[in-house]
Amino acid sequence: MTIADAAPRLAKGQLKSEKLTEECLSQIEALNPKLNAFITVTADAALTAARLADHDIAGGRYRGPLHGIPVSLKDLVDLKGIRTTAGSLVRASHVATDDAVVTSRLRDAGAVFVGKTNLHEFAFGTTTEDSGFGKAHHPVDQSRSPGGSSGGSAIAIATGMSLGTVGTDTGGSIRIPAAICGIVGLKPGWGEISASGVVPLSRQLDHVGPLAASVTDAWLQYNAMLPANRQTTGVPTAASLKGLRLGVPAGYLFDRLDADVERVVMSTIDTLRRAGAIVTEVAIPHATEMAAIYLHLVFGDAAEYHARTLLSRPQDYTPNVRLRLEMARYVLAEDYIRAVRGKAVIAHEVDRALDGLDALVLPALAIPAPPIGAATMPVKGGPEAVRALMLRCTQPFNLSGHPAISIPCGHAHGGLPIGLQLAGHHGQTPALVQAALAAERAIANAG
Amino acid sequence: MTVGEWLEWAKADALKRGLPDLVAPLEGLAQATERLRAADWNDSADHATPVDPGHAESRTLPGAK
Repeated sequence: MTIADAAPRLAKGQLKSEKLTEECLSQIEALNPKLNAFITVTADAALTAARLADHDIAGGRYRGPLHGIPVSLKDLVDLKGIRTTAGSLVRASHVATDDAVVTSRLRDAGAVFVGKTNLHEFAFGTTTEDSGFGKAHHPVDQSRSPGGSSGGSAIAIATGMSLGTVGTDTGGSIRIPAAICGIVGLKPGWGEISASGVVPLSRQLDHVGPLAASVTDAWLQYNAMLPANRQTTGVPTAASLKGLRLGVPAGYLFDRLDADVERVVMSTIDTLRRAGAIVTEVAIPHATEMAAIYLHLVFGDAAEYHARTLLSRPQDYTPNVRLRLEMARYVLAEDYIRAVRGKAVIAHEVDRALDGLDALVLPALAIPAPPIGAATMPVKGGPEAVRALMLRCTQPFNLSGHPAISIPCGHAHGGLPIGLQLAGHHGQTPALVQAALAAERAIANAG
Repeated sequence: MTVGEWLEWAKADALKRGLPDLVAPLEGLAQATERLRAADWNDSADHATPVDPGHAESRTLPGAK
């Protein structure tokens, strides 16, 4: 069931939040031992909140489409009175004294919090394998990664453990697991949604946003996460595909794709073209430098945040994350500044690529779900490191800050989902969502 | 400090700190740093006045279309 399905029924009293919440908690109880999507389940508080939502709705105090909806939070987002582990034993005993801003806004919208989801430790990875609370598993094939770092959140949506969820995205951590698990992931523009009360990885690249079962559900959550004076009522209408101007950033972002990903994404772009979209090639000239820019920024920022605990309790980090954080401490200031300047160059080039267009269209991810423990994956041009492949198509829009969304567009052999990514103009997330609604519909019609 | 000098220093420091597993990843980081330093947006004090990418509407950035 989606939020868009449940909300009108909840509003009319045809469906009770308590029942919906019980169903999600049952899913968690049944599947979490296998998939390890949740670090903390807040069953009692959720049921209490659900009963209160039912009482308020029955009393005529309906707050809107998230009222009574079971929602999970990536466990680096503060929920008052509950521990925020960030997937690390370093924070195993930390209990949040207040809600994060995004939690508070969802609470005001009537969301029912069912728990905190597993993640790659401190969001410093793309597979959710390195977590102080155990690795998470893909819901279709448990020998594979669900992606990350918001891996638990993606599993929660894909399996009905919650109807909504909050993730964070520093290099792709909303869109990567969304693509891998066959759901929608929306990274709003940088700064659109407050990251206050969210454990940082890199404050200049971190984005807070929703993962969801559909573009409409992503919108409903995104809207509720905004400051009250920027929220709107209703759902945007789908853009018309006829005349929609889409740019394909050919070259680097299409160079190292898995064969199934390339086939499905190119076929989907052709579907959009046949539905009336005008598709042209565009250039991001410094795309080949993006990985180096990203690495130095994230390393510099993470080294600063973790410096004290790397000294005081290094044994509490998972070995791989500790190693990467230790490596991060060797980045020189002059190279960090080169990366800061490179980030501005990429932002400018994405702006230029979008000039005269409605959105860019590209794969969300170069590969389907990788096997847990895989160091490399075969792609066009030969094997490539999993981490580099995971970030390749998403990190441009963390560097540039443009809004971007991943939507399901097909499957690889073995039934593993593949995601299509759309990126829009700064400050125009609603227009991006309208384009994504149109693409989602065209993909469904073609399927 | 050149990237080569930095790498030698970093590897020696990692070994001194009892972190031998860092040596191979540091070589990967060194490659990324080489790439960053070779990028054409980097300035040189004896070359042209810098372009600010945030205010580059009327000027051409390196490699821009």
